Amino acid sequence: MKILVVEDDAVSMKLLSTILEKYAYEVITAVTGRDAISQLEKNLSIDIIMTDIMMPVMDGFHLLSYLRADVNHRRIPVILCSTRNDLVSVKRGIELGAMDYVVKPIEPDLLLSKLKRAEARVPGAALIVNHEELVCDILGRSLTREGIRVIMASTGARALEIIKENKICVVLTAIEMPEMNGMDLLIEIKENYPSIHVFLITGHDGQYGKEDVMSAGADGFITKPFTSAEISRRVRPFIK
Amino acid sequence: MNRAFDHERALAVAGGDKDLLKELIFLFIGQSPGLLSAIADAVQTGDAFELEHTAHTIKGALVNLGAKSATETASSLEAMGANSDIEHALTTLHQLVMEVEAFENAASEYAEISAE
Repeated sequence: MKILVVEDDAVSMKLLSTILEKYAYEVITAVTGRDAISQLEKNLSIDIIMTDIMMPVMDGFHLLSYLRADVNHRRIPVILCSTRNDLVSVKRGIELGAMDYVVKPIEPDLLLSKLKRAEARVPGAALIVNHEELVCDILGRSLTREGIRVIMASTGARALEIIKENKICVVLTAIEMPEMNGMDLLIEIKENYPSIHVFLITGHDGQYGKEDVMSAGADGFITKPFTSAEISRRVRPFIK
Repeated sequence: MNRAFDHERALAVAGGDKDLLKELIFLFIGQSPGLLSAIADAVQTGDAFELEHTAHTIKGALVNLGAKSATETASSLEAMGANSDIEHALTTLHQLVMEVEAFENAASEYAEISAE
């Protein structure tokens, strides 16, 4: 799970980052609300946001307002983390869409239990598997624009690691890849994670045709060139 | 409980990790002159908004480090800024400087002892 921590105080940031990494979260940091928005634009697969309230440039409340108005990020669970413990601040944060509130000083056990609750609210993701970075990026951006959470993997082996650690609803994989190809990946996923929907993407002159991949258990076959609208239409129904 | 530095509280916040706590203490000691100067600038220029924000920042660090007295004083300064009532802010700032120094002395002593 990837957590964006937004905090302007270096001590609190170091503390939170270290605790979260100990719990095996991947931590991305930002020091203001505006910095957080840049990180969200750069990182397509942020699962949870933990943000301070009072920060320079853009505070936590403004960040919440931005997130709730943004189709790409409105479903990311947000936990506010602040020294403010007055009811007005808590109420305002919840009204703006925060799912929970942590008051400093940090209580590591309490923090962990709140993160577990947030994890349950993380929407399922589409996993894009392709060794060509550009294709991954184009597909990822199309789906992210539609508000679908996206995770990318450059190999089949990495895809299987990601599936083990994340809530993946759909896999979009290239067929032709070095090492483990898309067909082998499809078989592996269907054997071990039958609820995940798998689409295979290929050019017209690929080694495998539609019948081959469908008989191997694929949920769909997408031929290049494809449009963003087509990809979204195929993937959207399976994102829970 | 030592109000300048409650090491048990600070260690609990750090999840019982003494090395992390030491790192946080030295991180704070490296940053405190800058944080206090920013508060002093706000007090001297009568900028209530900046006072609220800079006092809030140092409070966030102090509260996680078990610096109870200094946290309370930073909180008072933050409230003065929020209420635009900064008449007594200079006196409170002096108090904060002394409390931060007391915290740093106690905390660095703790860090050195626990390193042995």
